[in-house]
Amino acid sequence: MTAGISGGIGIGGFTCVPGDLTRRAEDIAGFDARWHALLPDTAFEKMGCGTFSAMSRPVVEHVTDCVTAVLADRGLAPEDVDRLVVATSDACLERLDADVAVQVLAATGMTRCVPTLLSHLQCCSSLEALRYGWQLFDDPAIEHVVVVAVDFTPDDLDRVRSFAVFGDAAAGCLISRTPGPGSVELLASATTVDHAGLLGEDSFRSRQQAATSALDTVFARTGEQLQKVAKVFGSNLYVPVATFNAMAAGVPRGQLHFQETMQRHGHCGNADWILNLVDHAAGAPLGPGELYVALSSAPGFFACTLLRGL
Amino acid sequence: MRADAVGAEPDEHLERFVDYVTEQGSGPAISYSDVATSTTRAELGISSLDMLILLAGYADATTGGAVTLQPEWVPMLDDVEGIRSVLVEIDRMSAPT
Repeated sequence: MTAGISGGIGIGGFTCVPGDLTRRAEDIAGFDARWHALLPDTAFEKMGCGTFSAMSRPVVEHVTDCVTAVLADRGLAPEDVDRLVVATSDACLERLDADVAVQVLAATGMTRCVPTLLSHLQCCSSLEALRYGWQLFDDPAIEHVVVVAVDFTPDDLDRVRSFAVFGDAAAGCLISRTPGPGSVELLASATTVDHAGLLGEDSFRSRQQAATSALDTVFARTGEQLQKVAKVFGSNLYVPVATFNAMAAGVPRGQLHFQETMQRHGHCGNADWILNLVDHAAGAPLGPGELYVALSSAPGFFACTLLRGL
Repeated sequence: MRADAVGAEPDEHLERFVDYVTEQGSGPAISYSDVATSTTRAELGISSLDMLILLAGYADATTGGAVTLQPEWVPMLDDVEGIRSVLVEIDRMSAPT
Protein backbone atom coordinates (compact mmCIF):
# COMPACT_ATOMS: atom_id res chain seq x y z
CA MET A 1 0.00 0.00 0.00
CA THR A 2 1.19 3.47 -0.75
CA ALA A 3 0.32 6.44 1.35
CA GLY A 4 -0.32 9.15 -1.21
CA ILE A 5 0.25 12.01 1.17
CA SER A 6 2.86 14.71 0.89
CA GLY A 7 3.06 18.43 1.50
CA GLY A 8 5.63 18.82 4.21
CA ILE A 9 4.40 16.15 6.57
CA GLY A 10 7.24 14.46 8.36
CA ILE A 11 8.01 11.80 10.93
CA GLY A 12 10.46 12.70 13.67
CA GLY A 13 11.02 12.72 17.38
CA PHE A 14 12.06 9.07 17.25
CA THR A 15 12.47 7.93 20.84
CA CYS A 16 12.97 4.63 22.61
CA VAL A 17 12.45 3.81 26.26
CA PRO A 18 13.84 0.33 26.78
CA GLY A 19 13.19 -1.58 29.96
CA ASP A 20 15.23 -0.17 32.83
CA LEU A 21 16.83 -3.47 33.86
CA THR A 22 19.68 -5.06 31.93
CA ARG A 23 19.84 -8.83 32.12
CA ARG A 24 21.21 -11.91 30.38
CA ALA A 25 19.17 -14.79 29.00
CA GLU A 26 21.57 -17.32 30.49
CA ASP A 27 20.70 -15.98 33.96
CA ILE A 28 16.99 -16.77 33.61
CA ALA A 29 15.98 -19.64 35.91
CA GLY A 30 15.44 -22.73 33.81
CA PHE A 31 17.21 -21.28 30.77
CA ASP A 32 19.22 -24.41 29.91
CA ALA A 33 16.18 -26.69 29.92
CA ARG A 34 14.16 -24.18 27.94
CA TRP A 35 16.84 -23.79 25.29
CA HIS A 36 17.36 -27.53 25.05
CA ALA A 37 13.63 -28.06 24.59
CA LEU A 38 13.54 -25.48 21.81
CA LEU A 39 16.74 -26.24 19.93
CA PRO A 40 18.52 -29.27 21.34
CA ASP A 41 21.12 -29.33 18.58
CA THR A 42 22.05 -25.66 18.51
CA ALA A 43 24.55 -23.83 20.70
CA PHE A 44 23.04 -20.66 22.18
CA GLU A 45 26.46 -19.03 21.98
CA LYS A 46 26.15 -18.98 18.19
CA MET A 47 23.11 -16.69 18.36
CA GLY A 48 25.17 -13.57 19.02
CA CYS A 49 23.18 -12.39 22.03
CA GLY A 50 24.37 -10.11 24.81
CA THR A 51 21.87 -8.65 27.25
CA PHE A 52 18.18 -7.82 27.12
CA SER A 53 16.17 -4.98 28.63
CA ALA A 54 13.39 -5.69 31.11
CA MET A 55 10.78 -3.34 32.56
CA SER A 56 10.65 -3.12 36.35
CA ARG A 57 7.81 -0.58 36.41
CA PRO A 58 4.24 -0.86 35.12
CA VAL A 59 4.26 -0.81 31.33
CA VAL A 60 1.99 2.23 31.16
CA GLU A 61 4.71 4.28 32.85
CA HIS A 62 7.17 3.33 30.12
CA VAL A 63 4.65 4.25 27.43
CA THR A 64 3.96 7.56 29.17
CA ASP A 65 7.68 8.31 29.43
CA CYS A 66 8.05 7.54 25.75
CA VAL A 67 5.19 9.84 24.69
CA THR A 68 6.51 12.59 26.93
CA ALA A 69 9.97 12.27 25.39
CA VAL A 70 8.55 12.32 21.85
CA LEU A 71 6.71 15.57 22.59
CA ALA A 72 9.69 17.10 24.40
CA ASP A 73 11.88 16.45 21.38
CA ARG A 74 9.76 18.93 19.41
CA GLY A 75 8.70 21.12 22.32
CA LEU A 76 5.12 20.21 21.55
CA ALA A 77 2.40 20.80 24.14
CA PRO A 78 0.42 17.64 24.95
CA GLU A 79 -2.89 19.36 24.28
CA ASP A 80 -1.78 19.93 20.67
CA VAL A 81 -1.68 16.22 19.85
CA ASP A 82 -4.64 15.13 17.76
CA ARG A 83 -4.15 11.39 17.72
CA LEU A 84 -2.31 8.68 19.65
CA VAL A 85 -1.75 5.33 17.94
CA VAL A 86 -0.52 2.57 20.25
CA ALA A 87 0.81 -0.58 18.58
CA THR A 88 1.53 -3.88 20.24
CA SER A 89 2.04 -7.48 19.25
CA ASP A 90 -0.69 -10.07 19.67
CA ALA A 91 0.62 -11.63 22.85
CA CYS A 92 0.97 -8.24 24.55
CA LEU A 93 -2.55 -7.22 23.68
CA GLU A 94 -4.00 -9.20 26.57
CA ARG A 95 -1.28 -8.00 28.94
CA LEU A 96 -2.21 -4.35 28.56
CA ASP A 97 -4.89 -2.82 30.74
CA ALA A 98 -8.13 -2.33 28.85
CA ASP A 99 -7.88 1.40 29.46
CA VAL A 100 -4.16 1.76 28.71
CA ALA A 101 -4.77 4.54 26.20
CA VAL A 102 -6.86 6.52 28.68
CA GLN A 103 -4.13 6.10 31.29
CA VAL A 104 -1.54 7.49 28.89
CA LEU A 105 -3.76 10.40 27.86
CA ALA A 106 -4.37 11.26 31.49
CA ALA A 107 -0.73 10.94 32.51
CA THR A 108 0.60 13.04 29.64
CA GLY A 109 -2.13 15.69 29.55
CA MET A 110 -3.15 15.02 25.94
CA THR A 111 -6.62 16.41 26.51
CA ARG A 112 -7.75 16.70 22.87
CA CYS A 113 -6.23 13.45 21.66
CA VAL A 114 -8.21 10.59 20.10
CA PRO A 115 -6.56 7.24 20.89
CA THR A 116 -6.36 4.09 18.78
CA LEU A 117 -4.80 0.71 19.53
CA LEU A 118 -3.50 -1.40 16.66
CA SER A 119 -2.47 -5.04 16.88
CA HIS A 120 -2.92 -8.54 15.38
CA LEU A 121 0.08 -8.17 13.09
CA GLN A 122 2.58 -9.50 15.60
CA CYS A 123 5.84 -7.57 15.35
CA CYS A 124 4.61 -5.85 12.17
CA SER A 125 1.94 -3.97 14.13
CA SER A 126 3.92 -0.74 14.54
CA LEU A 127 4.68 -0.41 10.84
CA GLU A 128 0.98 -0.74 10.15
CA ALA A 129 0.40 1.86 12.89
CA LEU A 130 2.86 4.20 11.20
CA ARG A 131 1.03 3.79 7.89
CA TYR A 132 -2.29 4.39 9.65
CA GLY A 133 -0.96 7.46 11.42
CA TRP A 134 0.41 8.84 8.17
CA GLN A 135 -2.91 8.36 6.39
CA LEU A 136 -4.72 10.23 9.14
CA PHE A 137 -3.31 13.35 7.48
CA ASP A 138 -5.90 12.92 4.75
CA ASP A 139 -7.90 15.00 7.23
CA PRO A 140 -6.64 18.59 6.93
CA ALA A 141 -7.53 19.20 10.57
CA ILE A 142 -4.90 16.74 11.77
CA GLU A 143 -1.66 18.42 12.81
CA HIS A 144 0.17 16.01 15.12
CA VAL A 145 -0.04 12.23 15.56
CA VAL A 146 2.02 10.24 18.07
CA VAL A 147 2.75 6.59 17.29
CA VAL A 148 4.00 4.37 20.09
CA ALA A 149 5.08 0.75 19.83
CA VAL A 150 5.23 -1.28 23.02
CA ASP A 151 6.10 -4.87 23.76
CA PHE A 152 7.05 -6.64 26.96
CA THR A 153 7.20 -10.20 28.33
CA PRO A 154 6.33 -10.74 32.00
CA ASP A 155 7.31 -14.43 32.11
CA ASP A 156 11.07 -14.73 31.77
CA LEU A 157 11.05 -18.19 30.23
CA ASP A 158 8.70 -16.90 27.53
CA ARG A 159 11.46 -14.52 26.48
CA VAL A 160 13.58 -17.36 25.16
CA ARG A 161 12.41 -18.39 21.70
CA SER A 162 13.81 -20.27 18.74
CA PHE A 163 14.40 -17.05 16.81
CA ALA A 164 15.18 -14.40 19.46
CA VAL A 165 15.37 -13.46 23.13
CA PHE A 166 12.59 -11.00 23.91
CA GLY A 167 13.30 -7.72 25.66
CA ASP A 168 10.93 -4.98 26.79
CA ALA A 169 10.62 -1.51 25.30
CA ALA A 170 8.34 1.32 24.30
CA ALA A 171 9.39 3.36 21.28
CA GLY A 172 7.64 6.13 19.45
CA CYS A 173 7.68 9.00 17.00
CA LEU A 174 5.71 12.08 16.00
CA ILE A 175 4.05 12.57 12.62
CA SER A 176 3.55 16.26 12.10
CA ARG A 177 2.67 18.93 9.54
CA THR A 178 5.53 20.95 10.97
CA PRO A 179 8.33 18.39 11.20
CA GLY A 180 11.58 19.17 12.91
CA PRO A 181 15.15 18.51 11.82
CA GLY A 182 16.05 14.89 11.23
CA SER A 183 12.57 13.97 10.11
CA VAL A 184 11.62 11.61 7.31
CA GLU A 185 8.68 11.27 5.00
CA LEU A 186 6.86 8.03 4.31
CA LEU A 187 7.10 7.16 0.62
CA ALA A 188 5.41 3.78 0.62
CA SER A 189 4.41 0.97 2.92
CA ALA A 190 3.44 -2.64 2.36
CA THR A 191 2.40 -5.56 4.52
CA THR A 192 2.09 -9.11 3.21
CA VAL A 193 0.62 -12.22 4.72
CA ASP A 194 2.31 -15.61 4.73
CA HIS A 195 -0.78 -17.72 5.22
CA ALA A 196 1.21 -20.88 5.88
CA GLY A 197 3.02 -18.95 8.60
CA LEU A 198 -0.26 -17.97 10.24
CA LEU A 199 -1.01 -21.68 10.53
CA GLY A 200 2.43 -22.52 11.86
CA GLU A 201 3.33 -24.23 8.59
CA ASP A 202 5.67 -21.64 7.12
CA SER A 203 8.71 -22.59 5.12
CA PHE A 204 11.82 -20.93 3.77
CA ARG A 205 9.93 -20.46 0.54
CA SER A 206 6.77 -18.93 2.04
CA ARG A 207 8.72 -16.54 4.25
CA GLN A 208 10.88 -15.41 1.37
CA GLN A 209 7.85 -14.84 -0.83
CA ALA A 210 6.20 -12.67 1.81
CA ALA A 211 9.36 -10.59 2.18
CA THR A 212 10.17 -10.09 -1.48
CA SER A 213 6.57 -9.36 -2.35
CA ALA A 214 6.37 -6.53 0.18
CA LEU A 215 9.72 -5.05 -0.79
CA ASP A 216 8.95 -5.32 -4.50
CA THR A 217 5.65 -3.50 -3.93
CA VAL A 218 7.29 -0.63 -2.08
CA PHE A 219 10.02 -0.10 -4.66
CA ALA A 220 7.74 -0.56 -7.65
CA ARG A 221 5.37 2.09 -6.36
CA THR A 222 8.07 4.65 -5.72
CA GLY A 223 10.44 3.92 -8.58
CA GLU A 224 13.25 3.68 -6.04
CA GLN A 225 15.77 0.87 -5.68
CA LEU A 226 16.89 -1.16 -2.69
CA GLN A 227 20.51 -0.59 -3.72
CA LYS A 228 20.06 3.15 -3.11
CA VAL A 229 18.86 2.68 0.48
CA ALA A 230 21.29 3.95 3.12
CA LYS A 231 20.13 1.74 6.00
CA VAL A 232 17.58 -0.96 6.72
CA PHE A 233 16.16 -1.07 10.24
CA GLY A 234 15.06 -4.65 10.85
CA SER A 235 14.00 -7.00 13.61
CA ASN A 236 16.34 -7.92 16.46
CA LEU A 237 16.44 -11.64 15.83
CA TYR A 238 19.41 -13.92 16.48
CA VAL A 239 22.30 -12.86 14.26
CA PRO A 240 22.19 -15.97 12.02
CA VAL A 241 18.42 -15.61 11.60
CA ALA A 242 18.44 -11.87 10.93
CA THR A 243 21.28 -12.05 8.44
CA PHE A 244 19.75 -15.06 6.68
CA ASN A 245 16.37 -13.33 6.45
CA ALA A 246 18.03 -10.23 5.03
CA MET A 247 19.88 -12.30 2.46
CA ALA A 248 16.67 -14.12 1.53
CA ALA A 249 14.92 -10.79 1.00
CA GLY A 250 17.80 -9.48 -1.09
CA VAL A 251 18.96 -6.95 1.52
CA PRO A 252 22.76 -6.56 1.52
CA ARG A 253 24.28 -7.28 4.94
CA GLY A 254 25.97 -3.88 5.03
CA GLN A 255 22.62 -2.10 4.85
CA LEU A 256 21.15 -3.91 7.83
CA HIS A 257 21.32 -2.15 11.19
CA PHE A 258 20.22 -4.30 14.11
CA GLN A 259 23.08 -6.14 15.76
CA GLU A 260 24.15 -3.58 18.35
CA THR A 261 20.65 -3.02 19.70
CA MET A 262 19.84 -6.72 19.59
CA GLN A 263 22.89 -7.42 21.72
CA ARG A 264 21.94 -4.65 24.15
CA HIS A 265 18.13 -4.82 24.36
CA GLY A 266 17.09 -8.13 22.80
CA HIS A 267 14.11 -8.44 20.48
CA CYS A 268 11.65 -5.80 21.63
CA GLY A 269 8.85 -6.99 19.38
CA ASN A 270 7.23 -4.38 17.22
CA ALA A 271 9.44 -1.63 18.69
CA ASP A 272 12.64 -2.98 17.09
CA TRP A 273 12.77 -0.87 13.95
CA ILE A 274 12.46 2.34 15.99
CA LEU A 275 15.18 1.21 18.40
CA ASN A 276 17.45 0.53 15.45
CA LEU A 277 16.63 3.81 13.73
CA VAL A 278 17.34 5.75 16.94
CA ASP A 279 20.59 3.86 17.46
CA HIS A 280 21.74 4.55 13.91
CA ALA A 281 20.69 8.21 13.98
CA ALA A 282 22.68 8.76 17.19
CA GLY A 283 25.85 8.16 15.20
CA ALA A 284 24.75 9.31 11.77
CA PRO A 285 21.78 11.71 11.65
CA LEU A 286 19.14 10.89 9.07
CA GLY A 287 20.17 12.84 5.99
CA PRO A 288 17.98 14.87 3.62
CA GLY A 289 17.15 12.84 0.53
CA GLU A 290 18.58 9.64 2.00
CA LEU A 291 16.44 6.53 1.74
CA TYR A 292 15.77 4.22 4.67
CA VAL A 293 13.72 1.04 5.02
CA ALA A 294 12.03 -0.03 8.22
CA LEU A 295 11.00 -3.65 8.12
CA SER A 296 9.66 -6.33 10.36
CA SER A 297 9.06 -10.02 9.96
CA ALA A 298 6.84 -12.24 12.05
CA PRO A 299 5.21 -15.64 11.77
CA GLY A 300 2.65 -14.98 9.07
CA PHE A 301 3.57 -11.39 8.23
CA PHE A 302 6.18 -9.19 6.63
CA ALA A 303 5.99 -5.40 6.65
CA CYS A 304 8.25 -2.77 5.20
CA THR A 305 8.16 1.00 4.86
CA LEU A 306 10.31 3.19 2.66
CA LEU A 307 11.30 6.48 4.29
CA ARG A 308 13.19 9.47 2.89
CA GLY A 309 15.03 12.08 4.89
CA LEU A 310 13.62 15.62 4.78
CA MET B 1 23.69 -42.00 1.69
CA ARG B 2 21.07 -41.12 -0.86
CA ALA B 3 20.57 -43.50 -3.75
CA ASP B 4 20.48 -41.93 -7.19
CA ALA B 5 17.82 -42.68 -9.78
CA VAL B 6 19.69 -45.68 -11.17
CA GLY B 7 21.15 -47.54 -8.27
CA ALA B 8 22.34 -47.32 -4.73
CA GLU B 9 25.50 -45.29 -5.26
CA PRO B 10 26.04 -42.70 -2.54
CA ASP B 11 25.61 -39.08 -3.43
CA GLU B 12 28.96 -37.39 -2.87
CA HIS B 13 27.48 -33.97 -2.13
CA LEU B 14 25.11 -35.18 0.54
CA GLU B 15 27.81 -37.44 1.92
CA ARG B 16 30.18 -34.50 2.29
CA PHE B 17 27.49 -32.45 4.01
CA VAL B 18 26.65 -35.25 6.46
CA ASP B 19 30.36 -35.53 7.24
CA TYR B 20 30.53 -31.78 7.87
CA VAL B 21 27.48 -31.86 10.16
CA THR B 22 28.92 -34.80 12.08
CA GLU B 23 32.25 -33.00 12.51
CA GLN B 24 30.49 -30.01 14.08
CA GLY B 25 29.53 -32.09 17.08
CA SER B 26 26.86 -29.69 18.30
CA GLY B 27 24.57 -30.00 15.29
CA PRO B 28 21.74 -32.45 14.64
CA ALA B 29 22.77 -36.10 14.48
CA ILE B 30 22.04 -37.11 10.91
CA SER B 31 23.34 -40.15 9.05
CA TYR B 32 23.55 -41.20 5.42
CA SER B 33 20.59 -43.50 5.94
CA ASP B 34 18.54 -40.59 7.36
CA VAL B 35 19.26 -38.63 4.22
CA ALA B 36 18.42 -41.58 2.00
CA THR B 37 15.03 -42.13 3.58
CA SER B 38 13.94 -38.50 4.00
CA THR B 39 12.38 -36.23 1.44
CA THR B 40 11.92 -33.08 3.50
CA ARG B 41 14.16 -31.17 5.84
CA ALA B 42 11.59 -31.63 8.58
CA GLU B 43 11.72 -35.43 8.16
CA LEU B 44 15.47 -35.20 8.38
CA GLY B 45 15.11 -33.51 11.75
CA ILE B 46 16.97 -30.32 10.88
CA SER B 47 15.30 -27.18 12.18
CA SER B 48 15.25 -24.11 9.97
CA LEU B 49 17.70 -22.40 12.33
CA ASP B 50 20.09 -25.36 12.21
CA MET B 51 19.74 -25.50 8.44
CA LEU B 52 20.81 -21.94 7.87
CA ILE B 53 23.65 -22.17 10.38
CA LEU B 54 24.95 -25.43 8.97
CA LEU B 55 24.67 -24.36 5.35
CA ALA B 56 26.42 -21.06 5.96
CA GLY B 57 29.16 -22.90 7.85
CA TYR B 58 29.46 -25.53 5.13
CA ALA B 59 29.76 -22.89 2.40
CA ASP B 60 32.37 -21.05 4.42
CA ALA B 61 34.39 -24.16 5.20
CA THR B 62 34.14 -25.57 1.70
CA THR B 63 35.00 -22.44 -0.22
CA GLY B 64 37.16 -20.66 2.31
CA GLY B 65 34.65 -17.86 2.63
CA ALA B 66 34.49 -17.25 -1.12
CA VAL B 67 30.80 -18.11 -1.35
CA THR B 68 27.88 -16.64 0.58
CA LEU B 69 24.34 -17.94 0.55
CA GLN B 70 22.26 -16.77 -2.37
CA PRO B 71 18.58 -15.66 -2.29
CA GLU B 72 17.70 -18.10 -5.07
CA TRP B 73 18.81 -20.97 -2.87
CA VAL B 74 16.39 -20.14 -0.07
CA PRO B 75 13.23 -21.82 -1.43
CA MET B 76 15.26 -24.97 -2.07
CA LEU B 77 16.07 -25.55 1.57
CA ASP B 78 12.79 -27.14 2.58
CA ASP B 79 13.40 -30.52 0.93
CA VAL B 80 16.33 -32.88 0.58
CA GLU B 81 16.54 -32.70 -3.21
CA GLY B 82 16.65 -28.92 -3.02
CA ILE B 83 19.33 -29.01 -0.34
CA ARG B 84 21.32 -31.37 -2.55
CA SER B 85 21.06 -28.91 -5.45
CA VAL B 86 22.43 -26.14 -3.26
CA LEU B 87 25.27 -28.38 -2.09
CA VAL B 88 26.11 -29.17 -5.72
CA GLU B 89 26.36 -25.43 -6.38
CA ILE B 90 28.58 -24.82 -3.37
CA ASP B 91 30.81 -27.78 -4.18
CA ARG B 92 31.08 -26.65 -7.78
CA MET B 93 32.27 -23.24 -6.64
CA SER B 94 34.87 -24.83 -4.42
CA ALA B 95 36.23 -27.14 -7.10
CA PRO B 96 39.65 -26.20 -8.48
CA THR B 97 39.49 -24.87 -12.03
